[in-house]
Amino acid sequence: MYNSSRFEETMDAPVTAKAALLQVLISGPGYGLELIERVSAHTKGALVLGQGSVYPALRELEREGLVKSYPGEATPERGGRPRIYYKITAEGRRVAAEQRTTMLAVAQPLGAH
Amino acid sequence: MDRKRPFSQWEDLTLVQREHILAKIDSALVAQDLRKGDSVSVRALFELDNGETLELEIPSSWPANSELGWGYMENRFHASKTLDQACALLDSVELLVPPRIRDEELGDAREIVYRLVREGAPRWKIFLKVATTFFWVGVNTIREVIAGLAGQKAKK
Repeated sequence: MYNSSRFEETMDAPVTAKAALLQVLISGPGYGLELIERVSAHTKGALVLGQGSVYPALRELEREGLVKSYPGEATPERGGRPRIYYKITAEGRRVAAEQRTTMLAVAQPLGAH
Repeated sequence: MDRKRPFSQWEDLTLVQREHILAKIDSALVAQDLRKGDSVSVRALFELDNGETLELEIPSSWPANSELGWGYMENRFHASKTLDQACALLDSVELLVPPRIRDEELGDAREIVYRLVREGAPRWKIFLKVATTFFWVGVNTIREVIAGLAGQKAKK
């Protein structure tokens, strides 16, 4: 299960792949390739995830119980292999909301306090 | 057996079938003496080596001029050859990686290769994608093995 020390770990970089993926998964399930595009569109190209970061991040999120995977359709283009879709769990939603609040608080201009 | 395929399913044909169709189309274009800039909708029947009759529909936007038509089909032929080779390379490592990585990463890589071919990407770009996939699939397989071992250790 998720704990606060893990949350601190995920917040040690401005926006990690895991945090970005959680945010885009709020809008609905998706598979690796599609999630890469959604993160890029969501951040207006400011964050582009690659093959080296997206899949390990998704599997780590699943091990932490923040997302759940399930097999999708197998197409001839994929050589008969199913797409692996991810959907956010209730715990994942809670963590995504926390991360969003923290990021927005950090982004507040100094004069606003 | 009669089978009808739209032109967009060119990639589904075998290399032998594609070569056979290229030769037929080329000779048909020369025989009809079609002029540059003409466009034509072709519904052609091809009898393949395996006895199968194939009805291939070619859209009207297809350049009817022999030279242009041949060049177009040749490009499609080389692109589909590249596609077959790239997919065969990606499939060659499927037994060496965990099923999850095979389905997810190799499957997604094949989708990208198809997309690149459709967009008319150069051959080097397609094989660069295959090479980077091999690299990351290798790295991610090691990561998965380590994560699996760490998980087992934590349970003990």
